Amino acid sequence: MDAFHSLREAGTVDDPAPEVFERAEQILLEYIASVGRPTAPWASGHRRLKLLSGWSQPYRWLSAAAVFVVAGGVAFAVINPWGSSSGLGGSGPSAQVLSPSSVRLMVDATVAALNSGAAQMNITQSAGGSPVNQFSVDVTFSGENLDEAVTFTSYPPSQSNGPPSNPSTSTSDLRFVDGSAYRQLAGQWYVETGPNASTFLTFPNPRSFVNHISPSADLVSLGQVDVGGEELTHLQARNPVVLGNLGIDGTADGTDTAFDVWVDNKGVVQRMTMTDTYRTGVCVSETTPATVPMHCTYTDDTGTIDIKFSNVGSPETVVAPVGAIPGSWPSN
Amino acid sequence: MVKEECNALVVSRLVQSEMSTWSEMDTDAQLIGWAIAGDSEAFAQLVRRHQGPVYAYLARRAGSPAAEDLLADVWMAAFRSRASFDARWDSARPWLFGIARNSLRKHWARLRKEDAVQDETSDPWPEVEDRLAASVIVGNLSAALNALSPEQREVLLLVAWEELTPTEIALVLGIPASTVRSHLHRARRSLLGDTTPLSAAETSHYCKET
Repeated sequence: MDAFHSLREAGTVDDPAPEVFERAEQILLEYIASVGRPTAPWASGHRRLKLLSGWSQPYRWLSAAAVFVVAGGVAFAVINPWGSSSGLGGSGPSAQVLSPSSVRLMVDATVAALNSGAAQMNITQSAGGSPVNQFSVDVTFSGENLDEAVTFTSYPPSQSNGPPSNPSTSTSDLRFVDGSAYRQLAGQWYVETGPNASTFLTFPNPRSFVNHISPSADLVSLGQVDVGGEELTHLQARNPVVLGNLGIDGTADGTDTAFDVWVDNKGVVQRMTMTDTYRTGVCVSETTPATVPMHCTYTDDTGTIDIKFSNVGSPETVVAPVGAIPGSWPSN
Repeated sequence: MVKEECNALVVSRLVQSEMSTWSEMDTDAQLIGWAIAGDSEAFAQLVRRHQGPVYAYLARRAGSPAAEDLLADVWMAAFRSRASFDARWDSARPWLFGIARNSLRKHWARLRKEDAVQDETSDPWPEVEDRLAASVIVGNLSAALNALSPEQREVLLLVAWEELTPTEIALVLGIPASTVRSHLHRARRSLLGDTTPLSAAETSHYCKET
């Protein structure tokens, strides 16, 4: 017998006498009688259940369940955290904030569903409304293995007395397969092994971003939207500042000003966007050598992250490239 | 009956009548729905459905005499908080175990009331170990169980004794399911006598998800 089964055996408990259960139930019923019979929610006439002939079956059920919750004085989000169709959601001051358990369920459902699939990430840093840096990342992932194709575009600042500078673009292809990181440079694959291999990736596994969604962000529903024929619920954070940078180092270190997430009717996140602002300054010396304080110009820059998931749950295969050269790869 | 049909039935019942017509075939979520709507007998049906496992959960941790006393406390607490039940769970068992866990905490706090400071997060393991000491089977496991953190031990016991899934344990303990899996993984390794550190890949995997 193995240890686990021994432990299970050790937890065996004899059934109590039937009177034990009967007594407990009797105490409960007396307690219910002492606090009074609860009032049916629709009896008061204030909150009647609507007939929802145009709705799909799951939403009819969820709305019916919402009536239960209203009766108990608990947030609507506990039952149907994604939708606002009952009229209890919405962006107004009375919109219900998703309960912590609902947020946790959403995160868990998404992490489970995102065991395989694809994601497209667009990360843009802007200054004065113009893009400065832009990452476009196409990720395919299966478990911990992933392939990420990164296109990086840099927009040099315009010259005051010259032609506009052209943006420069570079691409890279990275893979993480069975604990090893691979990178292709000039047609040659390089492989990095060892415990720190995952740190060579440009971005972590996209599903890890979902884990940064916190109940304290105060998500509220803005209603249903049709995205490519699929009805998604749009959730928006009332308190996005708590979300940090979603674990994407160096891309959003400022103050989060907006966070939106779109969720399907299974509670799986299909898209998430985040905006943060940060202040940067450019200081120039007006004399050489600098004999007066430098003149500094500050701008409020913006970083945005837009992540769209696709083919969620579809089998994906990420294989190690052949002929990869072991050891640390050369830098660009 | 598929779930959608079942749900539609609940809706029609709600729309057509205030009278409760729950059946033994109803899911826990439906019974709690009826209880919220005012039918205490539906809640009693839920109690009968889960009284055995909830009693066993209490008895394994506090002993049979205390479990007999605590059982009614759990039902009353569950009734008071019935509106907090997440109706997307068909089974109420994890939710009831969470309530039972709170009752146990209060029970242990009462037992330690002579202490100046009541520790809400106190580890109940010494009491459980005392009870298990009488079991010959667990003898060799005692050291391994003692070596676990309280969180790892609780997760392991919820799997071994209550046969809950990590997702259900997450609901009982109020922690992410990924954290539960991490605790369970480490606890199982420890139980098997594997004291080697987690590999980097394992560490990375579990840390990313927690």
